[in-house]
Amino acid sequence: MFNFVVRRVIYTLILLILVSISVFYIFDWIPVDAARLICSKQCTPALVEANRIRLGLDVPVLEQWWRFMQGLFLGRDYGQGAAAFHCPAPAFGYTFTRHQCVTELIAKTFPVTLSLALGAFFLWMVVGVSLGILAAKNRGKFLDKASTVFVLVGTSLPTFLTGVLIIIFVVLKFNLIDPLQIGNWANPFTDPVGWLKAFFFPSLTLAIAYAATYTRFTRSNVLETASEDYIRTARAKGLSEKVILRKHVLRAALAPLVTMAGLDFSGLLGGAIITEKIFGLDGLGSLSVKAVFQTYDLPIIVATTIIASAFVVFMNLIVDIAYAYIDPRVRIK
Amino acid sequence: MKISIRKAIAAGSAVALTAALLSVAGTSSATAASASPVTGGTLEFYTNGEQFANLDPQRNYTGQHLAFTSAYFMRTLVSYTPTAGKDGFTLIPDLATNTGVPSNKAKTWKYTLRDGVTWEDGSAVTCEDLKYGMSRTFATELFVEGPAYPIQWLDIPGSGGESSYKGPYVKTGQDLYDKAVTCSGNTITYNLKKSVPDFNYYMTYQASGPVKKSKDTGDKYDLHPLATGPYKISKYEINDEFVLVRNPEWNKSSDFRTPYPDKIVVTFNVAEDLRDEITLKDSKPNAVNLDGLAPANNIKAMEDPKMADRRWNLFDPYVSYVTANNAPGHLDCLLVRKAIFFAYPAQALIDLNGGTKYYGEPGDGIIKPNLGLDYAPTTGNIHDKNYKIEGNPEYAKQLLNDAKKVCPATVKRVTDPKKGISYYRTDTATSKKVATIVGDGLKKAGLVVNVSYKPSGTWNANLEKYKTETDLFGSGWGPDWANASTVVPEMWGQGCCNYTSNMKATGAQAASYKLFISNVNKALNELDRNKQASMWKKLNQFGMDQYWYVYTAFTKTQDYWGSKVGGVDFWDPQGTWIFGNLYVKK
Amino acid sequence: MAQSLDADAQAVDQKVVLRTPNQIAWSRFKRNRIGVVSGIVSIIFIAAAFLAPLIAKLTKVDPYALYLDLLDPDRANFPIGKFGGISWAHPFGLTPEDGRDIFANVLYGSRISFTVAIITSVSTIGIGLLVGIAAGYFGGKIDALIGRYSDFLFAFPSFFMIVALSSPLVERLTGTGLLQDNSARLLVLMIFFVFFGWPGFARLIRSQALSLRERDFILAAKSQGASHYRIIVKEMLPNLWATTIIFLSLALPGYLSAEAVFAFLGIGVQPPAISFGILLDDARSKWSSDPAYLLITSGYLIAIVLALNLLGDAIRDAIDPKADRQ
Repeated sequence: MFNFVVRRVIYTLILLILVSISVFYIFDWIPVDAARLICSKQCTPALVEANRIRLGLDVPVLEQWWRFMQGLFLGRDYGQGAAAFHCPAPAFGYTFTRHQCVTELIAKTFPVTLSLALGAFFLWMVVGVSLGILAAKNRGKFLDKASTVFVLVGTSLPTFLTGVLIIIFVVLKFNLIDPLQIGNWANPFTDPVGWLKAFFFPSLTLAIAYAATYTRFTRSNVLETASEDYIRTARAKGLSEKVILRKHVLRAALAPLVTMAGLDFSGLLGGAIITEKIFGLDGLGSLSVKAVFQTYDLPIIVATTIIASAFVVFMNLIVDIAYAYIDPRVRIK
Repeated sequence: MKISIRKAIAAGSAVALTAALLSVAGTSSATAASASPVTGGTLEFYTNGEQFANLDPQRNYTGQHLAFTSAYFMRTLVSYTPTAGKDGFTLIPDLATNTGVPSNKAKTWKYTLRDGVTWEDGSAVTCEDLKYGMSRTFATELFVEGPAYPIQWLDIPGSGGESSYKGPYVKTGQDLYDKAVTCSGNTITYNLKKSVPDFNYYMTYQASGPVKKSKDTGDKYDLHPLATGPYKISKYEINDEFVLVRNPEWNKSSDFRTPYPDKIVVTFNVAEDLRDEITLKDSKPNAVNLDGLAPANNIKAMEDPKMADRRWNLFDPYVSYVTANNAPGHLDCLLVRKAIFFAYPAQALIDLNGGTKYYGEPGDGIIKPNLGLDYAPTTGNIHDKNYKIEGNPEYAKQLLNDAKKVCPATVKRVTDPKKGISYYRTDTATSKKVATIVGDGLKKAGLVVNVSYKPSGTWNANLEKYKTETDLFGSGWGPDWANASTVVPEMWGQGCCNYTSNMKATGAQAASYKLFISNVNKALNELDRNKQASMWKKLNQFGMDQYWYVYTAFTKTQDYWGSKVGGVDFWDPQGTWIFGNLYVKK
Repeated sequence: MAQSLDADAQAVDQKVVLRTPNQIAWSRFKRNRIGVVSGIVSIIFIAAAFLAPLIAKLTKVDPYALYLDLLDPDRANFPIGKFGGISWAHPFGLTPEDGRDIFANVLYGSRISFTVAIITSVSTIGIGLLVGIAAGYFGGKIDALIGRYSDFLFAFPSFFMIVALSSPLVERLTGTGLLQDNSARLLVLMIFFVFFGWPGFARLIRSQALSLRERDFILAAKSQGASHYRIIVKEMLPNLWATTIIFLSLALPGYLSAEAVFAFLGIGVQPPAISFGILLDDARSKWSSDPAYLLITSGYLIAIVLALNLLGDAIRDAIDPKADRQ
């Protein structure tokens, strides 16, 4: 087990290094001159050069990456002379359009994204898994049919439509939330009601599509497992249906869900772009998309891309290790 | 050129606009605030915008934000009078004891600081602070958004937009600046290299204002500039909230301002749907809508009698325009430009934005009637007997036919389905509709329009590049103060799109352009204001006869506020509220 | 129990008819009424999309024409009449502000959306099959390399990468002068979809190919000295067919909605071209003044996706009865 974990950790780190280097190469290759973009009307070639130095884009790509990495651990200075700023470690960059260290922005937006992701995760796991199990148990009956309809609707509605419809027909029609409050951040520890108000509907929007997929997945897994030989054996042994379901069927049927849920959750941590946009939530997704559409703010774009990748890669690692723990066969692979 | 946030939203394009000084015909439609103002309470503002374009004084160049900052917390040497109507143009001393003493043919300007003016940290505002503030305009490696007049005016050698002085951070040429701007006790002297009779108007701009060197945080100063006025910043979170509270160090005897609310809150990032709902339902009675409404809601709100005392509908200081790139290889043929002008489907575009009642009307030049002295109706263009507001494709076809003889290559290109007229637009929803309608209108005259949508966020930064690439592009402009010297040169002269290539070109087109530029320079140096006005009128006519613009519109503005907001008046110089007069009714 | 005995008895009575898995699946599919109906509906939607020019001609509406006289200038050019200007001539009404016929626009819009969805699905499947089989069949270093590479691709936040990179790439493509704005936008979107889409499908195929490799009939073919090419084309591909069809049934509606989602963010084709995303985004921003517009356009998209999803379910059931859905 220990060897397995070490191997996976090393592999993950290598992957992360490669991905982050590629991110630097990709954004260097595209025809967007960040140095030109933060320099407006009275722009001269000399100014563009000065901006390039300020942004740290004057050195080869690999060195840019190396400085970024150094900044992550040691902090970094941006700009020169009296107009220089220090961003303490972990420094993800400095944005000259928003006059802040990118780390500050991430620290501000991440709680929003995390709240949204956790809320949605909770909703879809509870709804999806329980509905899936119930549908399998009541196969062919009303509940099963209802779940089929739910799955169909959930998978057919694009998130952005669900969100818009929820805002129009639920939130505004019934005045459930003060319109100025939609999308406002509330601290869950000091203001749990405000937090719920802020995140319930966005989480619900996000959860619907996932819940549908999880219902389908759970149902078919439970049915498939229930037809396995060892379940028949258990039944022949005279175990009660409840015990069979809980001890044998669910354990085997839900194990693959761990992988799926882990990966889906880590994907959301990088920002749920559409949901955040519709509800005006100021999360990582909004931060990165606004950086693209408003000014092409390269430091933010690079930082959020790398962070999102890191979430995916690390969650992969965790899931792999967890899976190896559950199913020892994996370790040998 | 700066984005005006409210215009960008209303027009759906990143319109570049600056503050303006204009006399609005008639008084505001708002009910005159006859009741006496109430002190106390919280005054709120809400906007779809993410943040103030800029608060750093040397960066601030947006009419609304200039008015907001100077009314509440950042004082300059000179201010506009906080009164509605024409009196609003009158300059009054603010940090200074007078509005400026010119000498040496307006090449030297002197101001003396008032006693008892302090920063929010209690220290006195000094002459050195003022000098340091203006020097930051030269730090073009950091600040590029603000007006750059000092670079052109101050007696420091340089060419084009470049100065030998590189600002207080790099410090190259510091001695040159120290000679051009001098302090002696409480008196500051500005030495200019040419006569600038309008110099004191520039002193109303935040860019001329003071910055305390020891508190200068460079790029970050934009988030928390030090206050000198009756309020100071207590919170500024982009995308979230901006809060002003009373500044205890502010001294009433040193200022003409009277603060009313105890607290001022600006909420950013309010979704457009929600913003409109709040205004229509008056669900925030103590709040002011900083943006205006989406066109359809705007009409609804304008025609609702219940909202009569929560709105106004006035001509704003801006001219919207679509400029034709007349550089060689583009729309370098007068008749082709003229054909586009006559084919342009103005009516549909105006209707889409709310009709003539609310959007405005087609203009006859780049100088708007409310610029007063400098305006005279032009001839030709919209006064031509062939002009139809919905577009006259028949006449346009005729013009194109005539053009075939003069410039066959250009005609061939603009009617070729594979090439056509290239038209850059921002990628916002309304902008796309406008492009569709323009394309359809010009198609009726046999012209082909090939639209490219560019990201609206990077639009301004790429403007100079776009201007040289595209054939048509639209924007808007308002004068910096009541002189067409801040309009004609910016629009058609050196500040504009095709200046360089036009000056390099040869032939009749180029000759007439060179003549135009030399006349612009003559007008800029003219000290007799009346003579200067007649020169601007002629130049306006000249440009319109060249059809450098294929469409201009004199636009209007509609604004809304809650029922508990009092003291509502239109500030003509800035084209927005007189923020300092607003109070919260009991 | 009795019933199934009867069925067995019948089968014994009849002559033994050998049926391929495809035939079995087809007969199973035909018995699924919902599947058949949704199949027909899907075909109608697809036909309507690709015959859009013909339909527009027959109904005498031009999707590109602006019916400006039917708009109300006193209401910021919103359509005159109830429900967004629905009439016999314009059964779905008109778009606000520029007055285009929504019915024709929906048809033309679905044409672009279907084109994107079909081209991307087919390309994804092509690349996925090629790479997946290569990895699964040959294994070893090729498999390891491909596996690492797809790990690497999976690590990118693909959704955001598309958002961040598409407009610079469109700029680069139009800069070459070979493509106009809209063609470039469409191409970039499809390239991205395929680029980030294939590793998922390739993994699926790889695992299948891996198990197929050890099956008797492949081993038999190998022992008879069949070439790799022959084994892959003749023996493996037919056995991967079911997986491919199932993937296609999920990918098609998936990419159809994806196009709309990206258009919602302003990525993809732009007016005057028409796509679902453009219509939906426009309708969304005007819901308070013209709710019919949003209901009609979103209703049409949901109907298509629903029909395709139902069809997909039926196909899955028919091919893989173990994942019994009823």
